[in-house]
Amino acid sequence: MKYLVLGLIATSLVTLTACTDKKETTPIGTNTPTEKIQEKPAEAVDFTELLGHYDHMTFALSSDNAEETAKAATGMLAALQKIEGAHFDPEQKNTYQDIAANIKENAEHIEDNIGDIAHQREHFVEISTDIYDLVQLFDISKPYYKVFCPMVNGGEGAFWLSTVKDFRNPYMGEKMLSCGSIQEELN
Amino acid sequence: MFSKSSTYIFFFLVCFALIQLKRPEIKAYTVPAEESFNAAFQVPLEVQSILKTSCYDCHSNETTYPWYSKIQPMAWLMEQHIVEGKEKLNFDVVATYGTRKRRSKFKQIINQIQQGKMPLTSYTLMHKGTALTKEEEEILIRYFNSLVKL
Repeated sequence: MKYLVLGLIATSLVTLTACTDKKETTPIGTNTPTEKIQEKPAEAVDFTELLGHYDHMTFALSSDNAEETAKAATGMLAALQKIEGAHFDPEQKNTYQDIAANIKENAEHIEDNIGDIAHQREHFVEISTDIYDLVQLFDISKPYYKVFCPMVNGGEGAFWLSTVKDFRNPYMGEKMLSCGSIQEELN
Repeated sequence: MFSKSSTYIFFFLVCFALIQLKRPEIKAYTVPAEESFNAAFQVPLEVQSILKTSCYDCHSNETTYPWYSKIQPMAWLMEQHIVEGKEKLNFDVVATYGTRKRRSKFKQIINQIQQGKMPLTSYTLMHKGTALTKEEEEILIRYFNSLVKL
């Protein structure tokens, strides 16, 4: 019993001092450069390259060029690998990993199917959804038009992101380049 | 003296005997019961039995090896199918994927069945009774669609 009381006193002392320590340091902390260093990695996640390869893929598909599409996929995979080491908030990390795993999965299929552009386009439906969510969830400031084409994906329709208003349909290619309507403007 | 054709037959038999010496190692994978696809997704029995007959040989850790899988060159052909098949889709690891990747896999399964690409003709020819009937296709498509919407 005696030890228990002593123990309790000791722990409460420790917690009390810990609390007061914190109170003393926080106001100083906000002004010191150490705080800034902690924030810096959070901004460092750079999606520019990944999005660049996505735009390349969109263009290649709209030009019915399966080989170029596969190259863009390879680029996306490399870009993903670079992002992997970046710093994310613990919450964001899960979301990012979920999205990234799916982009990887679909980009690999696109890379492997140079001989089957229709199959590449099936996977592009998935990648477009992932990129759209990525832009929204990670507040990426790149301006995009979300364009919807009702004629693809087995009648379900599918969207993609276009950097320009004067879009070229990556699902149809030459067959019907202008098919689609702008649903949303991002940023 | 041997006739020309019997020399050929003899040569063929020797080769056939020799390739029997080289066998791919058949890996005995074990899946903890609670991690298998059937358990993780509480697959209805009807769907389970179709998957087991037509898909699991190449797309899970539960390959059923028929007697002729011990004879070359069948063993090599099968091994190659299985390695490639599992690389694209292994039902017993799907539960470990994130939500998006899972959904992606399920959509691809539906696409492959709808387009008649799976199961492979080279597989259904070699293994009797593995081809999907129209009805079985519909059952699978309905089931995987329900998973996509989860």
